Amino acid sequence: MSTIGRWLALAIGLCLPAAPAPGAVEQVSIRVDGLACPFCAFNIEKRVKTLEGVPGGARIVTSLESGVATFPWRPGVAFDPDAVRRAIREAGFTPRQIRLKATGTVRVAAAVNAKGLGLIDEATGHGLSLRPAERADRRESWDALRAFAGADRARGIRVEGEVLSEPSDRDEVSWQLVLHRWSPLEFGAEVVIGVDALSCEGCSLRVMQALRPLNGVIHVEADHETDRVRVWTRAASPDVAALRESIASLGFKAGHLHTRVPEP
Amino acid sequence: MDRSKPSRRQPASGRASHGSRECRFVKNRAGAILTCLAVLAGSARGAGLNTDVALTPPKDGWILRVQWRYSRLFDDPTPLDREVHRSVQPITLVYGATENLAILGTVPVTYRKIEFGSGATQTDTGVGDITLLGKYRFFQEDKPGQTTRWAVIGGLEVPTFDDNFSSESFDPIIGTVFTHQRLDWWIDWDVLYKLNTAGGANGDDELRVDVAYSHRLVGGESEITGPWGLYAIAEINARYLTDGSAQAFGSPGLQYITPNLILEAGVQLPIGQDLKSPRLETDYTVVLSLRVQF
Repeated sequence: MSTIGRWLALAIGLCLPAAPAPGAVEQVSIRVDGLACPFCAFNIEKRVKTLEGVPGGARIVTSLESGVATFPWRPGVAFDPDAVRRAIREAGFTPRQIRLKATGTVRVAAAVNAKGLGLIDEATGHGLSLRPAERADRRESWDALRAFAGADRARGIRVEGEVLSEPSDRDEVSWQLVLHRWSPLEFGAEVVIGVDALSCEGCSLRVMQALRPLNGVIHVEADHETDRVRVWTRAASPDVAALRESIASLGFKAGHLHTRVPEP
Repeated sequence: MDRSKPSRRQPASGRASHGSRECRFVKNRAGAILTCLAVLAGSARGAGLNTDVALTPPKDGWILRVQWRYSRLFDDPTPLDREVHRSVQPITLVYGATENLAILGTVPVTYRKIEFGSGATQTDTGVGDITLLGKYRFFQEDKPGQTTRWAVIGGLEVPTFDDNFSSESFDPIIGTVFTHQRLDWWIDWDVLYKLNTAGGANGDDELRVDVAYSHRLVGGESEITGPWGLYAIAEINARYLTDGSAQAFGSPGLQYITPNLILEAGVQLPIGQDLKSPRLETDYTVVLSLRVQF
């Protein structure tokens, strides 16, 4: 099993459940070149089903139009990108970019710098460097993550995003993280505020920029699709009124929904 | 042998009677026009209806192809004035030994009814010679939604020593197959040469050239079957024997393709035939075919 595979299975976290659990790859998508007819799709299915990490009876979805094969990955089995690429070759096609969906926790044990996020698997000591994908709309989130890791090194974080292999046409690849959002694992309280008319990405950005400098705030994520703002604070009893006032000062109507404190 | 003997038998395909056995290449316009129309309309896909050599399963994968081919042969240059109705069920099994090497075996189960000019008939059933081929892909270039592949083929036709349908000789076969495939269309081209070691009257070597073009008419991605497509296919199948005989066919057809099943149907119509006695001309061939992958 490759170092990267073992590490990915343990350390990349997406969509963290309430109680942090060991990380695991849940779904694999791989772009396949040379896929040009419906009969070819069976070849992919036949070889992918021989992989140790693919559950018996799993549905392998192969799209001719997008040239992507998607399949589930068995919990507890380390992800091995080399085995996946080999299976695609044995099916008669050329493997390209791998995209992973995983669940679990990430513990920041190395510095986050301009090149990306350095993460260590606590069990094995192996490291994985994730470079930020070139997504301008996520730069704010990366900057906040770097600032957090710089000040609170070794604190746990929860990452939501996608892990991509780059470049896509070689076996030796680095891994990119398309960061959707992140949150700290250790905090005093998580405050959820409903905001009316949080209608666009720009509005969300303005709210995050307004709340982040406030005293005691660790991290802020604003989601214009759900009209929710989540604020993680150091104090167990944060000043919710100050948070609401700060949002109101931007012209938005804010209402406190609830505050959650982590279980001991 | 009188090569210009008028034939009592008429073609059933509706074409004008040839009346003589002089070279008729391109004289049969029906097949040519049908093929050209199908090609122009955009028609063919990986492994045509009338050749097996483009079939390629994945490593450790299998493809089973079962066909039913009915042909009417006529225009007997001999005094026997034969008309033959032939039904062949070639059963082809292909195994992917590696991602680049496939092993093919074909067993043709054949039924034949011969009607003589005298009114007598004769029926025969048997198993023709077994074709065993190895195909090695030496070139592959994949891009998003398209692929180009080239393979060499080598093998042997193994005699079954059937009294009616076997050459009773081990005949080596060599060849090559080229495929370019895209989402909306593909083209296959293969050349095969069979060295006939039998000698005698039936000892002619055979050169085969097949070109198939296929075009996706309609397709989609279903929750149940996965990706699927209905393809129109047009082939040109040419055959040359070292006694100087030559035949070329235009073969339009349809293929319904899913990930593990292909249903196919088509006809083979002669574009031109120049056959040495005592060979019979082919009036038409109807082909029904099923391919499954497992």
